[in-house]
Amino acid sequence: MTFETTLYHWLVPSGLVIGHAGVAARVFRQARWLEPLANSLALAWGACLALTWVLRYRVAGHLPIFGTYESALSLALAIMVVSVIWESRGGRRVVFTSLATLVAAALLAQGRRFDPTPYALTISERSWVVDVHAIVAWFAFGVLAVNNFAALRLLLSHGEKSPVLRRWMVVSLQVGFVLHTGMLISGSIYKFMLFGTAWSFDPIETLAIVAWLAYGTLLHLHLFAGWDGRLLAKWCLGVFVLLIVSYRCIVYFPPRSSYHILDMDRRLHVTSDATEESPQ
Amino acid sequence: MWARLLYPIRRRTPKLGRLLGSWKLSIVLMVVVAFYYGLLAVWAALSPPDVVRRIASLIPFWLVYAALLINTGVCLWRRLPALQRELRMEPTAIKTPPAARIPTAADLDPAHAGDTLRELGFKNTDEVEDGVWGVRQRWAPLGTFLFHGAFFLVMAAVALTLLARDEDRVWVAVGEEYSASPDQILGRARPGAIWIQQPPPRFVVESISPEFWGDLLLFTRLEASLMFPDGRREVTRINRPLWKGWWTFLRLSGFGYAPRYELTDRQGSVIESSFVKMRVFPPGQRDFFSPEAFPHHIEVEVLPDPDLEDGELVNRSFSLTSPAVKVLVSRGRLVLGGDVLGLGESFEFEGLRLSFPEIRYWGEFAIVRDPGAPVLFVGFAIAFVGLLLKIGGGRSEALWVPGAEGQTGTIHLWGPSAHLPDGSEPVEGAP
Repeated sequence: MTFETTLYHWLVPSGLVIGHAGVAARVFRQARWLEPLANSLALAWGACLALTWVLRYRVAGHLPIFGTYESALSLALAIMVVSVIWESRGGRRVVFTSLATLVAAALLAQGRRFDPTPYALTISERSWVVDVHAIVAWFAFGVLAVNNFAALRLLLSHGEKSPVLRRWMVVSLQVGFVLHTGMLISGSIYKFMLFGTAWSFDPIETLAIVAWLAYGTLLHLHLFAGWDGRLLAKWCLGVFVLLIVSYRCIVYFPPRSSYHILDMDRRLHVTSDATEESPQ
Repeated sequence: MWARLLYPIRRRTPKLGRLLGSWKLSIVLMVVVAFYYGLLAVWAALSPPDVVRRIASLIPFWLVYAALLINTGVCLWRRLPALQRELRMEPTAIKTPPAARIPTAADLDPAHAGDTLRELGFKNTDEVEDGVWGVRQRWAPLGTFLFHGAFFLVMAAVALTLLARDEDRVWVAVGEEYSASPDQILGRARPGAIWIQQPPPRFVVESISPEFWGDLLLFTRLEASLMFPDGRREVTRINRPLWKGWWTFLRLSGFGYAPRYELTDRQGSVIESSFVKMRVFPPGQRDFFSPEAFPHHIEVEVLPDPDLEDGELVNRSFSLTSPAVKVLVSRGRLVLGGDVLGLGESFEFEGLRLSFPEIRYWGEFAIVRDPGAPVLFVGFAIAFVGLLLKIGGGRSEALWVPGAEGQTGTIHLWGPSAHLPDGSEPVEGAP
């Protein structure tokens, strides 16, 4: 085990503990001392996560996009970065960062179940368009995760009027939708570059469209039907589940069904049979 | 008579327009498309990709796309007068109840009120009859139009692609000129309805450079350098198509070995020599060819980097470092024998000597003519620009009204509540 994989390994339990502590500090308000402590620990945890990401970048020689192990790491970092940036504007770090720590640790727990071997990027992924696509996708997920945290906070704050949270929920929904659209567009353009066709009903595409339509529907309902506050929050939570499915569950599909399964151990079964169709 | 016939249609048109342009219909249609696509994802887990693509082209999908387009078109049409109004640099909302208010100091004069509005993000502030007015996100309504209008371009692109896309798969060896001769064509996919005949691009393949990840069958590099008739050299990769004309794209899509065989007589005179492009990649695959002037059947397997391991011939990597060719020669059903030949070595049969002096690469190139592709990219660009115009929220207006003598003034705000400035107090019962 390298230092980077060991760090990755320990980020999971430590993130779960720190995240839970932060949430508990918010729920049990008597323990005032726990809030700043959990906040500091969450930030330190985020710094360790960033270090792991940098180490992985150096070892792999490319952006950590290749396979479930690497993509979990990048998404976890994106969630932390977006949460910290978002909260730094509001001045109440503890809950968003704690929730972000929990979700990021859960992502890493999923990533840890997959092969951590660093592979060089194959020609199919060597393009700045892929880099743009991946970065936009990470931040789309990060912003929509913040949307989910704002929704959760809103639902947990019984009776509390929280215009800031409501505003954050709507703004993050809008920004996340724009980024998700950017992700779809850049993916479609790259698909055309790689296969000569912009769309092929790959499950990664259909799932991403389902999430995009769901968020688009929420935006329409907010604009035209006046959905706001707790009602919108409940639906944001529901749609976030769709987003998680679209980002994290493609790896459970049969390897032949999607070109987006980038785990080498799974992909080699496909490439060894079908090399003539398209070099990987 | 015509008037009588048209009357029932005209009578129902406003209702129909309201139905087709309603946001409720938009919601229903979006949910239906999401549901359909969810089913497609389930099918993708259970069926091969071509089955999923066939399901995705069934009539219910087209019906819902058409309904969405009609709904979007009617919505945009009905919103057009409002768009024209909102893009103008003049107050449009101040006749309606404001969404929020901000109290200002009693001694604020109009000049400083303009500064305050600018600090809150309102531009183009202007003194009006009642006070000072400003607008924010003036172009946001245009963003909505661009984003939704781009759907028509995207659907037009899809239609063009379905009707007119064609694709040639050709194979060309290093040093060979592509001239669209039949022996260079591997496969053609023609469109169903329209075929826009275009002269094929001509080029010479100067080099093909593959690199592999260790001993795995994973390319870390595969590119072809092409020379075009105008003398320009361009490099294409599997993920970097060359744009040759408005809607013609040329890219490297595959790769293989093209050994040159030489048949000589016992005196060493060359009888026949030619490159044969063979499907012998990856190593282990076998292909065959027949010389032009002889009835033999020659089966070939290329070992790009052979080695002996415990007396067994193995292949170490995919790089053509010191290649060998495993041949098996037969005539009819009679097997004449075979051997493993290094470059320059020969195998003799029936008075002929077979040798392979060199092995080159061949590239498979995809020549895609897709009139829908540029339209699609323009559609994407417009949609994204539209979203960027909207990202700061919808159009907001602010009107500073001075208070009565000695009283505090008020900034009245109109616009989406999520984008109102900090410190604003929502008005009870505001929309």
